[in-house]
Order: sequence, then C-alpha cells, then structure tokens
Amino acid sequence: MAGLTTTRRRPSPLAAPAGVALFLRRLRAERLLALVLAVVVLVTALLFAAVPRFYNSIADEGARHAIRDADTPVANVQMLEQRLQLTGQSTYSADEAAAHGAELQSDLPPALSNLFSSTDYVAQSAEFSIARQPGAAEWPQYFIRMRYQSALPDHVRIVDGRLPEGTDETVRRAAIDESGKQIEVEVPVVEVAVATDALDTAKMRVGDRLEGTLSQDSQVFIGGLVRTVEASDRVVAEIVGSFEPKVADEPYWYGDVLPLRANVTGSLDRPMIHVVGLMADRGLDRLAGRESVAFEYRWQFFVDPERVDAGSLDAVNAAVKKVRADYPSFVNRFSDTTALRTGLDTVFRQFEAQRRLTEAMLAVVAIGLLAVAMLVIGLIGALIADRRRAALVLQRGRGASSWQILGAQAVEGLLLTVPAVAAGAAVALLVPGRASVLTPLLAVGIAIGVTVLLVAIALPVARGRLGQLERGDQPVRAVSVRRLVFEALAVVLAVGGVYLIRRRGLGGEAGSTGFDPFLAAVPVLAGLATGLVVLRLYPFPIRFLAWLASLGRGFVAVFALRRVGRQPGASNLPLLVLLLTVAVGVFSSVLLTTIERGQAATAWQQIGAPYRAQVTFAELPKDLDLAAVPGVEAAAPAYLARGVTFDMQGSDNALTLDAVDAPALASVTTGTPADPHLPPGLLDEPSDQNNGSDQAPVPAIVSTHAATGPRDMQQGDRFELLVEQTWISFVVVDVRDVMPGIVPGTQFVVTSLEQLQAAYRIAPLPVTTVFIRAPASAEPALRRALEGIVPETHLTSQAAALGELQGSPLIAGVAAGFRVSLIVAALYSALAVIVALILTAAARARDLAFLRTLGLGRGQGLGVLVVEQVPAVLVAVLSGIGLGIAVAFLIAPGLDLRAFTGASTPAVLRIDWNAVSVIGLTVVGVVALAVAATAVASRRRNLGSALRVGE
Amino acid sequence: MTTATDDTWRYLPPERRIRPIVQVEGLTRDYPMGGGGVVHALGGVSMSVARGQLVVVQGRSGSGKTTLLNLIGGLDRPTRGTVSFDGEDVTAMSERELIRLRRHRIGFIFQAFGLIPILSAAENVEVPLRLTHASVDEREERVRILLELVGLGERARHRPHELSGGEQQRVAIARSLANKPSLLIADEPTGQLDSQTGRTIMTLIRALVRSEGVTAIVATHDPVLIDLADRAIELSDGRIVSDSTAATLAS
Repeated sequence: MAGLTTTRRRPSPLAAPAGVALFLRRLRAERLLALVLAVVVLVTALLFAAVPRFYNSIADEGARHAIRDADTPVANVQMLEQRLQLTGQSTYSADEAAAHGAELQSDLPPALSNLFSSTDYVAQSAEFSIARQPGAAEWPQYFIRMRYQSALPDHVRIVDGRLPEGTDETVRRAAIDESGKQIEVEVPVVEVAVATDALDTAKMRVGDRLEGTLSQDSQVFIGGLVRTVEASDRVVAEIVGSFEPKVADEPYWYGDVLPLRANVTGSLDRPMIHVVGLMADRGLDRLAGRESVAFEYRWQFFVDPERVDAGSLDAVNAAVKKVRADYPSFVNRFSDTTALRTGLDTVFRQFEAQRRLTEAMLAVVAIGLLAVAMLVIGLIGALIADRRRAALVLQRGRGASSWQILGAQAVEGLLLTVPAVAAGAAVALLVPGRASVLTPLLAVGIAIGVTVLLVAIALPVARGRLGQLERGDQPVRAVSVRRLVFEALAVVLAVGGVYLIRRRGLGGEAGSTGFDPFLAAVPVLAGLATGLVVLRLYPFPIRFLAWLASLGRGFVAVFALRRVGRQPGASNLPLLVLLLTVAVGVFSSVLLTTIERGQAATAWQQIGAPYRAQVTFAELPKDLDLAAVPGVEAAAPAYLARGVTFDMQGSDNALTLDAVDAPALASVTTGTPADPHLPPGLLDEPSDQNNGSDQAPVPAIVSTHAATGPRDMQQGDRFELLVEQTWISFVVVDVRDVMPGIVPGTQFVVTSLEQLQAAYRIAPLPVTTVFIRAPASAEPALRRALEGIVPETHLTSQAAALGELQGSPLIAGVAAGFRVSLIVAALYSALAVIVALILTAAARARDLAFLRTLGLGRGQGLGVLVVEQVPAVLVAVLSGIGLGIAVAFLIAPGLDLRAFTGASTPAVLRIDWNAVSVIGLTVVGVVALAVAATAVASRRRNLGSALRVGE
Repeated sequence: MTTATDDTWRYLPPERRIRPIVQVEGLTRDYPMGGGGVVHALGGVSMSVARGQLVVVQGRSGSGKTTLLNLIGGLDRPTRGTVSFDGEDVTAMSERELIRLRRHRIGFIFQAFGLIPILSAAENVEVPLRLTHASVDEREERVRILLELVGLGERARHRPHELSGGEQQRVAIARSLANKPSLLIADEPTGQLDSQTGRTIMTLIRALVRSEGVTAIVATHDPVLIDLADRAIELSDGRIVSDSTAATLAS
C-alpha cells in the first residue's frame, strides 16, 4: 500500500471523460448535498450577477433624480444673447429668434443635445419706468419689462381679459428733441398680460395703459449705454389680460418668478415695484425693431431626466466641458457674445461623488458577502469531501494518483458549478437595470473560484500520506509553519491595505473617477485577517475556561469546552462566516446610522427649528400670534438681515445678522438638535439705557471668521454693525463655526432681538423670520395661517429638508443593498452552522452515544451541543461587532459621507447600539435555530447504530 | 422459547439463596424493515446470570449477541419479554431510571473502545465520575487506581491516538469500572485486537471479575477465549442453542 502512494502519474487525457462518469455516479449517490451546493452556487451567482444590474439601476435613477431635484436653471441649458441695435447689433424678431435657437442647438455636441426633450425661448426688453399718475405718491415707483415667451398659451390660464395680440396702434405724446424743442412723437402701444399676483401687488388692473420710458438704470444695466431719453425710448403697455400660471413651478418658467409676481426692491419706506408684461410675438417684432431698446434673448433647452443614464455621464460631462469652452458663462453684464448658463456639470459632479461613495460602500459589503458565500461553499465542499473520504482513500490505495483525483474533482466542480452559475446569471437578467460587463465576469469568476475551492478541499486527501489517511481518528496536529506564514502574510496585507485606505481613500487618488477594487476589498481582507487572528488565539481562553470548569464536578461545561479548545478546526469556518456576517452588518449599520443622523443634523442646521417661516421685502406682524394654530407649541420671531456692514478696528466686512427672541428660541429648539444653546448674555433682559453704545455693547455670538484679516474672533472682542443705517456696538460672548438656521460658511452675528431693539431705538425692527415648534401634523394649518397673514411667507420644515436629503435613490439603494446583504449573510450563516454541525455530526453522535452508555442524559447531550456553540458564537459576534466598527472608523477618512449627509464638515461616525444589538442577536438566533434543527434531526439517530460506528 | 437458566439457587434454603443479577424472560426483539418485513433479532430468549460470573455469549455475526447485550444494558427496548436487573425490571424503567442504572450499576465495553479522542486516558476514565458528580478528590483517586489496575498508570495523560489498540481497550475497561458497577457488559471487546492482545484483555476482565466482585457478560465470536469464562451461552438466529458451565467447558 505504501508503495502505491509513491506512484505519481500525470493525469491521462481520459481523466476528464472518466471524471464525467464518476461525477454522474456520485451525483446519484450524493444528490442532496450536490443539490445544496448547486443551489448555494446558483444563489451566489445570481446575487453577484445581479449586483451590477441593480447598481446600474440605482445609479441611473440617481442621475435622473439629481436632474429632477436640481433647480431648473441648474439642470438645463440656457444660451443667452443681449442685443441692442444702437451698438450695431441687430435684434431678433420672433421668427429670427426661433431660427437662431435651432441653430444654437445644432451646434451643441450630440451627447448633450440628445438629452433635450423640448426647447423654448424668451425675449425680454430693457425695463421701462412707469410714469407716475398725477397726484400719486412719490413711492412706490413702478417699472415694467416686456417679455415674449414662446408657447405661452399652453402654460397660462387667463383670469381676466385676454391674451395679448399684435397691434399697430400708436399714440401721440409730447416730447423734447435734441435741440430742446417740444415735439410730438408716435409712441407704440404694446398689449401685455400681467400675472394676477403682480397686478395685486402693483395695484394695477386690466385695461390700464402704462406710460413707460426706458429706464436709464436698466439701459445701463442691459445695454451698456448712457444717453438722454429719446422718443424711441418710450412705450405704452396696455394690460389686456391677467393670468395665472397653470403650474407655477414647472420648468417652463425656468425658476424665474418675475413674470409671475411683482418684484419689490428698495427699502420698506422707498419701495420700487417691478412687473413683467407678457406680449405676443408681434409685440416682440414691433419692439425689437426699435433701435434704442435692448433685448435679452434666452434659448432654453430642457433636459429630459429619462434620457439620462449614469453610464453616459462621462460623454455628457465632456460635452458640457466643450460647450463651456465654446461659450462664456453668463454674467449679469452686457456682452455681445452668446453666453451659457447651466449647472449640469455641477449636478453631475455632485452625483459622481455620491455614486463613487455608493459604489465604494456597496463594493465593501458585496465583497464581504462574497467572502461569506465562498466560506459556506467551502464548508459544503468540505462536507462532500468528508463523505467521500473513504472512497478517495480507497482510490488512492488502488493506485489513483493525486493528479487524477484532483483532476476528477476539478471536472466535477466544473460540471456542478458551470450550470448553476449559468442559471444564476440567466435569472439575474430578470433584475431590472442596464447590463454590465461585470455580470459575465463575476459569473465566470464565481465558477472558477468555486471549482478551485472544491479542488483545494480535496487536496489533503489527494496528497496526504496514505497510511495516515486510512486511520480513522486523525490526531489534532500542530499548525504547519507554511500555514502560519500564509496567515501572517494575510495580516500584513490587511494592515498595509488599511494604511493605504486611510491615506488614499476608497476612491483612490484625488481626482480619479473610479475606485480601486483592491482597496475596497481591504476591509474584507482586514476581516479575514481578524478572523485568522481570532481563530489562532481563541482556543487559549477556551482552554483556560475548560481548565477552570475541570476544577468543578460537572461534566457538560468541561467536556464541551475541552472539545472546542482542543478541536477548534470544526468550528473555524462557521466562526469566520458568523464573524464576517456580523462585521458586514455592523459596518453597514454604522454607515447608514451616520448618514441618517448626518442628514437629520443637516436638515436641523438648514432650518434651525422644526419650522421656519420667512419673508423677503415684507415683514411679519410683530404681534404675530401662532398659538391659535392647532399644534403650534412655540414660536420665536427674528430679524434676519444679510449684507450687514461689520466694523472692527478698521476691518470691515458684510455678514448676516440674525437677531432672535432668545428665550422664545430656546423654547422652540429645546431638546432638538437645532438647540443653539445660547449663552446667558443673550438671554438677559436689556437693562441699560445705553444699550448698543461702547459702554453697553450688545452681546453677540459671531462666526469664527467674522472679521477680515488673519485673526479669528475671540470672546470679549468688540465690533460695530450698521443696523438700519445706525451703528451699534457689540461684544463677542461666544465664537462658533456654525449656527442652526444659518447656511454653513456664512459669516454671521447672532444676537438677542430684544437687546438689539433696545439698542436700536429709532423704530421697531421688522420681523422677517419666525422659528416655530410644531409637529408634522400641524403643517397644513400652519401654512394656511401664515398665508392668511402674509401671502409671500415661505414656510420650510426640518422634515421637508430631511425628505429632500433622503430622496436620493442612491442612498435608498445603498440601504436596500445593505439590508439584502445582511439577510443573505444571515441565511449563509445558518447554512454554515448547519453544514458544520452535519460535518461533525457523525463524530459527535458517536461520542454522545458512548457517553450515553456511561449515563449521559439527553438534556446533557443537548447541553454539550449548546455549550460547544456558545464560545464560537460569542467570539464571532463580539469580534464581528468590533471588526465592523473598526473597519468603518479605519476607512472613514476615505469615505466622504458628505456626499450623502449634505453637511459642510466631515461626518462623525455614529453607532446605533440598538441596531448593533439586533444584528448580534439575529446571528445568535440564526445559530440557535440551526442548532435546534440539528438537535431535532439527530434525535432520530439510533443509539445502537451509533455505537457500531468504527466497528 | 429457549431457556438457559442457572437456577440451582432455587434449591438452596432461603437464607442461602442469592438472587441472580440478571434475569431474562422470553426476550424478543423484532426490527421492522422497509416493505413491511420484520427481522427477528431475538426470539424469546430466557436466561439468568449469577452474581460474580464471567459469562461469554458467543455466536456468529447476526446471531443476536449485541441485541441481547443492548437489551440487558437498557440501551434498547424489547418487542416482548422482560429483563430484570437485581430484581428490577429494566424493560419497564423510565429514561431517567435507565440513566441512573447506566451511571451507577452497569459498565459498558465496546469493540471500538468508545474513547473520546480529544480526552486523555485519565480524562476518559473520569467521565463516568463526572456524570455522577463525584468529588474532585474521589475522582482523582479513583482514576489513578483504575489506570494502575489496568496497567496504564504511566500513560494517564496520553490521548487515545497515542495508545495502541490494547491500551485503548484497557482504558475503556478502566472507564467501565469507574463507578464500581455490579455488571460489566462487553460487546466484542477483542474484535479489533490481535489474538494475543485479545487474550490479554479477556484475562484482564477475568481478573477484574475475581478482584472487583463484578459480574461480566461478554459477547465474542472468538472460541479460544471461551476457556476464560465461567459459562458460555451460544446464540444462533436469535435463540440460545447451547449453555455450558465452566466444568463442561473444561471437559
């Protein structure tokens, strides 16, 4: 026999067909195990073949969402031209403008123009100042622009009157010529329709004729020309109808509210009201023919989100880049070249950051899941190898060479895995999403990987010493040096990988578009390394516990712990599977918790309270009482002003002033993440008659960089602010980087409204903002109440802001991917435990049967089974939790979660211990179920037959 | 029904009567087979075993030796018939009572030794003592005595794979005696041993029966070992076909 083992023959060419025959015979004999293996391989192949499609699906949806979510001017393309005949340019009539738009579109790269679903254009005149009616007050002053918008009738509803038409009517008006002589001139009448809101604000009516003279300010602004007003600078705008937009926020209006409502500028005591009158195409033709009237033409190309897919973003980005090179960006100053206005590249850049982050996080979890799957497949392979051990030893004994056995195993592996992988990949085609080149690659990789694994498992039998193999009870041998070196190498690689990840990040070098799969796999490598270290070390404490137990009289604990401590091999793979499962779950949980809490914190930061009501160029009543609104618990009025002049020892700056009713704000925000924890100085009552003077400066919180210059602000610093044309002195009581309710990065001063009011004694400060505490259910009533008081009030809520942050399909996809991974990993874990128990079932049954003849009860037998699992499960769960958290923290510097949290500062990782506990308990539950199932199955085993094992 | 009863005690005056340790009455064990068939492993066996005897049960493979021993030891339940151990009906015992019986009163020895591979010789021997919650001192003393009794005092810390077959069986014998049972049941204890070692093991059992005052029922198919027995019962097709005492055997 020993002589036969020395025979080494290369596999014969007939090995493969012989292998097929052998495979078919074995398949019959081991159909259950083969079926389990095939199903696991199929499910694994299905999962990993489906992952790229799933990923493409959420990436495409993410790109579309990014377009849909962005403001219209950002998500579309607008080309602008400003033209004035006086400067030698021709203006476009309606037809010419349409033709020019088509020409511009045809010049755009196809990768970009193919995304457009529709186009329209707008032509808007310079602004005309409306003559004051005799006897009318000096303020407000009124202004009107004439605008033509293509396809207007499709987007408005006439409320009164009619849509404008072309008219040739003119009126004669007195004028003064260049020599100062009074003359009469023909002034064209242009029919316009004005939005009902604008009419209300400007107190105009349908039928009004507005005498307009070209506004010098507007002409300078748009035309770059200063000259005296001439006859041709005048127009009569006749309001022939009022309208409402069918959908005020539809892309057609391009985020431009000017045609829909009056714009009020100036100050509260000197308001200027600007309206836009929409005219017909003939109106445009008529006005465009006048040499002194500047026109701005905007051709708007609307991107259809459904035409966007994440796979073609590189081409689109290149196209946008080219267009940016061809056309200058639009700036609000007259230019005779075609300008471009779009934020598509910004949208895609933000999306790419999210996509890279999604890709990295999903890849880490997917690779972890793949490792778990391969371990489970390895376990099943080990079970098959164990079942066939006797047959393989017999074959060796009859002269089969190691190569023949391994060759047959390889053929078997391929015959079993290739159909399973092909079936899995075929089913994966049903998963919605774009096809990916990764799908077939992953499928082939899994087939090869599983086959190699099955061959590797047969290696000990194929190449072991025959004499030793024939001995049934293999002694527990010391770990080979080769294996220790291999394990040490894995640990060193993991440490190196973690170091690289911390330095480079998952996305590789800054500016690179892809991510490095090796670095994404490092967390899993770290997991395996941790597993190897744990496997090497955990028998030592177990042996110590066994020794402690042996000092007592009992049997169950000492026997079970001795088994685990002295024969750990059987529990190695399931321990690794459990460890990786817990680690994958905890890693996912930490990232999701961090993102969720980061988004919530960002939403609180944005709004500064559960609700915020704000008005611009208006004010809310000082005695605004929202207590009557059902659900409202507290409200804090505030005076918010931007661009306030700041002065500190000659260092001047413009910043945001937020004067809040401090005690009320404390009531609104107490217990919420938006609580600013105002220092006592702001909560004090104003006590000094000289409030706001150098002797009694108003306490304030300031942003770190409020003052220009090298020095940060410090407590005790004094400065002045120009509040409503009055200088007021402040003293710094606190310095902060951010303040809830104020956009991060803004330089700000926050103070007490009451103290500021005491310092500003000229007039009551206007209330422009109200922070409100109310539940979500109160929103409709709150909105109605506020609109009833000041219609322009803009109400925002923390919940809505959070909803917008959470709306990204990418983050939803990541969460779904994490959940599916955890469920699948848990199922793999259950399978791993069951297979491991089956693998050791024969030896266990034999041992327990002999022990029963010594008086071991059934309960004690079950106790042994349970106690044997406890150390492995405890070690796996605790190590897995530690590993999951550690990996998340280790790679955190490389994962820029700001792409999802929307925060301005890097996210601080958060651990939800409840979720972590649930993951740990789930794995414990899975193991308990697997043990229970195995225990129930083993009860059927006949004691007599167990006692005859080995005879 | 076949009967092999050593009932000479019945003729002794009551004060001198010693009840047999094992009394088997009409013991039948049928195993249902697939397709409605039945295998009759034992067919109405009756016998009694006197205290302090070494009884050998012999017969070919499939003759019912192991079935008989399993039924006597309470490892299996008969289809019909009774087994009395020290006057107690084993076949009527609950699982809990059977466990107590195995822990305290019966020791088992098997052909495959039945040692736990991961435990040392001493740890294997102490298993029954742990199951009965013996004190640490008692346990250590008993293990030492038993291993010395079977001649393995120096190999107490060795694992089974470090011992020869004969040594492993000696450890198994020491283990079977740990709780001072009154009955030893050995199923083919020499089946995996060469003839010389087998004889040594049987001699050891013989000696233990004498020195420890234990009764032993040993199943074997090796006829050369019969001369060490006080009595030999031969089974064939589940029935007793001969029953010989030591005198008969010697003749």
